[in-house]
Amino acid sequence: MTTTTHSPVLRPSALRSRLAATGFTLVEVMIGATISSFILAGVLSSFLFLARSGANLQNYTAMESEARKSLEQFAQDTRQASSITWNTSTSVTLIVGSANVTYAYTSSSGQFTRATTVTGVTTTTTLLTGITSFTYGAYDINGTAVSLTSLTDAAKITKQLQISLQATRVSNTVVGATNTVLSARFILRNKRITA
Amino acid sequence: MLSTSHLFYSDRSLSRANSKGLPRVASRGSVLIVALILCAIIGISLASYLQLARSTLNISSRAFYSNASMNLAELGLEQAMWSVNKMAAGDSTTAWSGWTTAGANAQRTFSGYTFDQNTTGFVRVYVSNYLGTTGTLQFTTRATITPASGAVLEKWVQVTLGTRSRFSNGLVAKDSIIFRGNNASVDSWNSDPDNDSSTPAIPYSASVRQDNGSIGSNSVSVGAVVVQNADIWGYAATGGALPTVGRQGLVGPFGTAAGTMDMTRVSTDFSASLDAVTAPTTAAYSIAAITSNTTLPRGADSPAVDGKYYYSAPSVNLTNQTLTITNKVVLTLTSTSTSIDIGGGSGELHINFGATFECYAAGDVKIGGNGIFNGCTNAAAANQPLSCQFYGTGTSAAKQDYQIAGNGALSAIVYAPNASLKIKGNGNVSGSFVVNDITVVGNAAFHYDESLANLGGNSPYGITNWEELTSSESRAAVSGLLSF
Repeated sequence: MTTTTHSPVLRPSALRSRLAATGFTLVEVMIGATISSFILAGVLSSFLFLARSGANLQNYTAMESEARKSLEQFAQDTRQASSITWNTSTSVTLIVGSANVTYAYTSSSGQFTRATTVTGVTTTTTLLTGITSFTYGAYDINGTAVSLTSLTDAAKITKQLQISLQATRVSNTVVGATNTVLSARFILRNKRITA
Repeated sequence: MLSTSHLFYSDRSLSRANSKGLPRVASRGSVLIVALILCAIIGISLASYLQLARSTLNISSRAFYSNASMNLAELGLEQAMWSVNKMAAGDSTTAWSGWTTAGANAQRTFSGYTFDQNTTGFVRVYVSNYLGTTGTLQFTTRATITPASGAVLEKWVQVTLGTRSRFSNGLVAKDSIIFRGNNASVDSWNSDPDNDSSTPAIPYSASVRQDNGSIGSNSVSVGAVVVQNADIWGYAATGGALPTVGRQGLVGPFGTAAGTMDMTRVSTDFSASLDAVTAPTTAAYSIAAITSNTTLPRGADSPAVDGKYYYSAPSVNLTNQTLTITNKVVLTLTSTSTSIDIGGGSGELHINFGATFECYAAGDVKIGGNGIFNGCTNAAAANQPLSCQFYGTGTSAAKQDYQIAGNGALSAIVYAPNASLKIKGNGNVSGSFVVNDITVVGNAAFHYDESLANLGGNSPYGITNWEELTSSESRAAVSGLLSF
């Protein structure tokens, strides 16, 4: 049988005196503080690492998502294009059905846009942002690279289009996330060639 | 027995004790709360991190399967294209085997395609007017990919077909086209502008000539097309290097100055797929080698169901003698060395006005002497070029040797992808020639018959329009066809 009736712990006066009497020694406090600081340092560094990685991953995900969506749209239009006009070396206009579709890169804003013109009404959509470098690749029916020195001549023989670009996203306290995109060579299937 | 009443008492006492300045006990609780908050923050961060990673994986997977669905849609198109071209080649028995046909249309589902991660796919193909007899031949495909998780991916593609004429250009060569004469020329006219064979053909004359003569070489080599001093009133194309033009030569529309090329009519992206040709399989009369004056068809022979008289012989070898064609004749020559050798001063292939001659030869073809008389000795009254057709069936590494000449005027078409063709003479040459390489000797005036671009026959089909159906409206218009 156990009885606690007379236990001195349960007496407030005794408790006060005991608590006052007991305590940590300096060594205990130092060891405790040291261990705590290590634990806190680990926890904080993990937290910071996760936060920074998360921010970076978000940048990568956003860029990847934009790039894939853009390429899908670009591929759809290019495959159906019956004609191509080179406006500049970074801007092309495709004729897709009854629409004129212009894909252009603007270096000042770092944007890649798609402008659709149907019956005189133009609708522009920004597909990609944060682009630091952009190049169109043009190829003829045989897969030979087409020189863009003469845009008129290039339009006559361009049968395949390719996009190569690099985009960057920067967040505070995080190094810039860079995404390099190299598309497939999309064939202008409805564009008649000489044969 | 353990009494708990004192324990409660003890806790209250402890609480009172804490309120009287015992920070050590209080700090224990705050540490716990801080730890919990930190754990919560880290947990939320970790969950967000994992969610982002998962989103990225999903985006990548769906993009991958989106590409795969396009490939699957094109697989359906390829299957349908194979069947159509098999049918065009005359093998209608196996062409549509496995397809479900109803009226003028055919449909089929190709299934069982498995991808990684329990992803499966299938494609439905609907062929409108699959026999190509009425209306437009059109494929509509609907590829479906079902991933292990997430929404189904689909691609809808519709293509329209048309027959590809082997004779859509005047002079076509895999290799080179060389003009040796100083006054040779190339232009065009249309012998059948209404595309109706029952109406009289329009003969070539200066009043109907056009500047749409076209020459093209697949070759990417420098010197693939040597115009020299010839006048190409039309277009010139190569697979790579620009044509070579001499000081008196030209390429361009009427009015182009000598020694120049109109660059809007010159291109370097020429690419023609010259498929092999085979002799017809229709039952033919087997006759001996033709070595003396002969007239085909023979009096007692009967035409096949298509109205043509089919013959098979080893070769034609005539010296100062004539092979006369009086009706629609198809002659298959089986010799792989010399199929036709007509020579001597007066040897001739004589095709009566209104008759047609179609020759399939695996060996060399040399027609000299008086050459080919196709209806008349002058271009203004000659038969249309399609009245005299030569097809080279040879496939050996040694090229077939084609040397043909006209009797006054040469009116013919030649399709021999494995032949070296030499056109001799200074008169009018009309038609279209598609061979391995061409040498025009003399000052021939070549006239491309633009009506030959409509010469379908059993030519393979090609895609004239390719469209991806992306809008709900365009898909709704054909969804009824693809719901099987």
